[in-house]
Amino acid sequence: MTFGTRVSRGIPSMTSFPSKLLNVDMRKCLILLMFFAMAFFASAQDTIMLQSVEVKAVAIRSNELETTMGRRMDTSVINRLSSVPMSQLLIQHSPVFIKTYGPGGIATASFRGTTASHTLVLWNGFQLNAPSLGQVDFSTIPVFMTDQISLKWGSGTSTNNGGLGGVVSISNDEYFCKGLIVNLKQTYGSFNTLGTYATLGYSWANHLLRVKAYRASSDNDFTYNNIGVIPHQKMKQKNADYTDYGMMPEYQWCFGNSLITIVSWNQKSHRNCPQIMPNVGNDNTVEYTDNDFSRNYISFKNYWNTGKIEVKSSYFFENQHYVLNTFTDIGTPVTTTDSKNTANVFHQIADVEQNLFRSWKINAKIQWDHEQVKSNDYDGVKKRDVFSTYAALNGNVLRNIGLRATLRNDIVDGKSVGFFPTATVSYSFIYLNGLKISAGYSHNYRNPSLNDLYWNPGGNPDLKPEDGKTVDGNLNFTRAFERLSVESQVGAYYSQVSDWIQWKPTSYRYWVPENVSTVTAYGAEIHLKLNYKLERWNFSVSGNYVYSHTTDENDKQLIYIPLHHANAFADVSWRGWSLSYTLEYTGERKTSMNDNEFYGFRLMPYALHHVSMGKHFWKLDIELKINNLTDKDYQAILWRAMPGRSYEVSLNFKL
Amino acid sequence: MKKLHFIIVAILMIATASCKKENPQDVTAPVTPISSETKGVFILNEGTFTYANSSLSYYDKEADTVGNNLFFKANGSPIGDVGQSLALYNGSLYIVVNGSKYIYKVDAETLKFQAKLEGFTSPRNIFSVGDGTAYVSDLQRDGLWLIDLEKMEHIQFIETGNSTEAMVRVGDELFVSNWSNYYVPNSSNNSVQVIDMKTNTLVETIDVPQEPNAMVVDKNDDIWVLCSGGYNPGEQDPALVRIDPVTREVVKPLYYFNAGTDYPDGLAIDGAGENLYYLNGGYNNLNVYKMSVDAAQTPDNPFIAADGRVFYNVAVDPENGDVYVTNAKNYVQNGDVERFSKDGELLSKFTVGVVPCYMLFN
Repeated sequence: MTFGTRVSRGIPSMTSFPSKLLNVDMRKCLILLMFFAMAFFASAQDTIMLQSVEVKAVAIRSNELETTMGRRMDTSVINRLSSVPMSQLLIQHSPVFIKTYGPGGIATASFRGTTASHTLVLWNGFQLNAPSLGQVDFSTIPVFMTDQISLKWGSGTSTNNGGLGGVVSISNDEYFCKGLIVNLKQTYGSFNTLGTYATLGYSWANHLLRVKAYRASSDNDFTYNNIGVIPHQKMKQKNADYTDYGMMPEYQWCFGNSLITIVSWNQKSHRNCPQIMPNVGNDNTVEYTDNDFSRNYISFKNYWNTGKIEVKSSYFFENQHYVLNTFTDIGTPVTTTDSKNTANVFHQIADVEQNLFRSWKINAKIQWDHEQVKSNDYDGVKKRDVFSTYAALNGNVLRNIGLRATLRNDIVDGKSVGFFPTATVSYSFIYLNGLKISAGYSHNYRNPSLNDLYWNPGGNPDLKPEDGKTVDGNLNFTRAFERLSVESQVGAYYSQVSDWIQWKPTSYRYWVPENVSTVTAYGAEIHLKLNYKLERWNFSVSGNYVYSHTTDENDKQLIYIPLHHANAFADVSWRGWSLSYTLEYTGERKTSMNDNEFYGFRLMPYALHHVSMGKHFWKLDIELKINNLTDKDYQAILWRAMPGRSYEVSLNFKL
Repeated sequence: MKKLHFIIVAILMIATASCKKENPQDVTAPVTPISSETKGVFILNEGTFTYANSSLSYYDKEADTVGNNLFFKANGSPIGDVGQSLALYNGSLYIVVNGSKYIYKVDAETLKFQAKLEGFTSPRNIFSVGDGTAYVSDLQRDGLWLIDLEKMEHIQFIETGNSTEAMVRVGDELFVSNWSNYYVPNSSNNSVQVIDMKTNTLVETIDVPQEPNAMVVDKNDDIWVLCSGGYNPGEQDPALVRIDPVTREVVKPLYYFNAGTDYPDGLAIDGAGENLYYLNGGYNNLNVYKMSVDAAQTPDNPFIAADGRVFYNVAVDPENGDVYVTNAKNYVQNGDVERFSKDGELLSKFTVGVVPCYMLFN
């Protein structure tokens, strides 16, 4: 949250600020605040700037109602993990659970005990969930390509359909007057894992021109203990190499009270798919995915004293190509699965915010999404149009009681799905500064994916949308003392998703999706972050613990959702040196819907420990990372090999 | 600072506590005693494709007890991906694992690993000849395999031009159904291929309706072939067909089912070769039917109605005629096996593994 650098002739991103700051007088305060923040930022820069950024972010945002319905990831974390996929950042630093097939493999996110399909991903407000599958593979989102990452849950997900579990929102920063922007990072690690990340740009007066480009690849031929074969033996992972690259040019132009942004995010990847452990002898199989996409948008924003309007339009083109060729024992081809899927997606959004009286603010949005998928697994081209109207009212009923109510209506292919309301109430304690309690209700839905509807064979065009209702409560405490800053959040939720869609095998030899059951999820999340400064020392500790109980009608925990998972991070820095430790804990998981899961098919709990050491000098950062320090042998998905201890060095030059 | 210490210590405690648990794969447990004395049935559960959660159960029919996940307990490893069929020979149990493309040989009592034979393309069923060799059908090859059960080696591949599935023997001839044409180019899915077991060559191909998925031999040495009618429902009328192995002709009458509504699968015959049992019905709703081999037509009423159960396969105890039917439930949780008397009275019901697919009596 680099507010200090985001000042652009007094045009802040309004969504980031509390509404009551937005009258003329308060603008001054805001600018003062920013100066304060900048001072903080500047003074911190020669030691270690990252932690000081966090403190500032907390101070500014503490009054927002939105903080109770989500959380913004620290810029320091985003910067530190810029060379990893987003899946890794989320599992290590957020309450989101990641189900991963290992490095270079699919990684999907689940919020609050729901599944990957219930995690909506927004990029500058546009849905990234593939219309065909309905999910996002977080291993294909490099942290490097984003400037901001925030999480939203409960009533925070009201702006769009689909996020029944939660929303991961990523966005690009707006900033000006920075001059030359150069950020180069090179990483090299075990298994010939290479990463090159470059940001080049120039921002002058009213313009910003920036290009991000990267390439990441790995042979990924780690050694693991194969317990899927008899006798158990050490083996090298085969056929798991990957190459990803991408480029994101960006242009921003600010004139008068307006801002135009044009961004184009392009990526390409080739990834081989390894066999499950017992099948390592199947050498006569070639399996890989070739994916590429181009996501483009243009946005126009105009600000006035009491409000703003944003009109934006996007065009996404995505190509997914999955190949599975099997051969007989004598090498003649048997099956050639060549699944091609091309998606063209258009989004049009108009979003207005207007301050009313006192603290009250209204936000209205209309959105039209047009999705079109051509796939050789469908019978022809399949389309979907969603027209959505949304309004939110936000303000303080009393000085310390905040209220936010939203209502959305979606029309899918000309048919109304219904009205979806949310409401959130918060109370800020007067005598205990920084303590706030809130409660929310939200009702949302998720459309079946186009695969669910039209996959041939099996697709079920009669599927109903999933319907989700959630109530949740949060207790937030955020306070900055002289040396210590505290940010903590305790939340509990209860949600019910009816008409839950599940693919079921049938006696027709193919699977068919059905609205099978009602799933009930409840749980709790605890988040804590402490930062302590002592002269030139800086200590920070943060962690998340999540309890998620998600069951179907028969009261069985859904598969691959751990009852407990947690992460923790500790960092100490001194005069440019830093040492950090990350813990990732995943509780026991079931892999089938059985009452008593047999121990061999249960995934045992595991804790992974990662350490890194870095030194900042001149304009360089050098870092050594050891992942899976204890060389833990584990499975994140049944019979999928995972790497043991690995090393990585990185060198970062930042102007 | 004290607070910080406390937190760090707490984190380390969580971290180390989780490390102490024993890896279940390192523990092997004694399996339910199976010996030459025990009488019962091995049940192979195929599991979910690519999950490698296939498992082996054994039901002791005298004690009325079941042991599950026996292979894993004995060996600390899974059977693999989609266990397909079983055979017993000379104190060893052979497990054909379709998705993993190998056959495991284990001790039939302790279930301890003995050998593994790879090199198949898509092995399906195994037919033990009794002389130390066995035929193995292959869904994705244009023929079938002959293997040595003792040495666990391939002897030869017998080319037939079509894929191979179910196998029965009459005299010195092996009748092999050609169920699918999906994987083998320029092949058929509507024949029974006759192999001369002395020369191991294809001697004749008998045309039957589409997709013959199961076969049995009756008291008259006639071969019964159950044909599902095609990959997609409604392609062709499913049928139950009788073949005279001498004339190698389809004997009238044919028993036709209704295309689109019927999907017959799973065929078994009692020890006397008098009564056929098969599964038929619609989508996830297969009933068990019983039919005398002398009957003039297929029965209208089921022997055991599905009543919400998802019947997946049927087998008959050759000793007493008890009928065992597997219930795959929703295909992702442990299934059941229900044991009925030959009169249809429920004798026992027990839970086994995910998608119980194959039963073998010892």
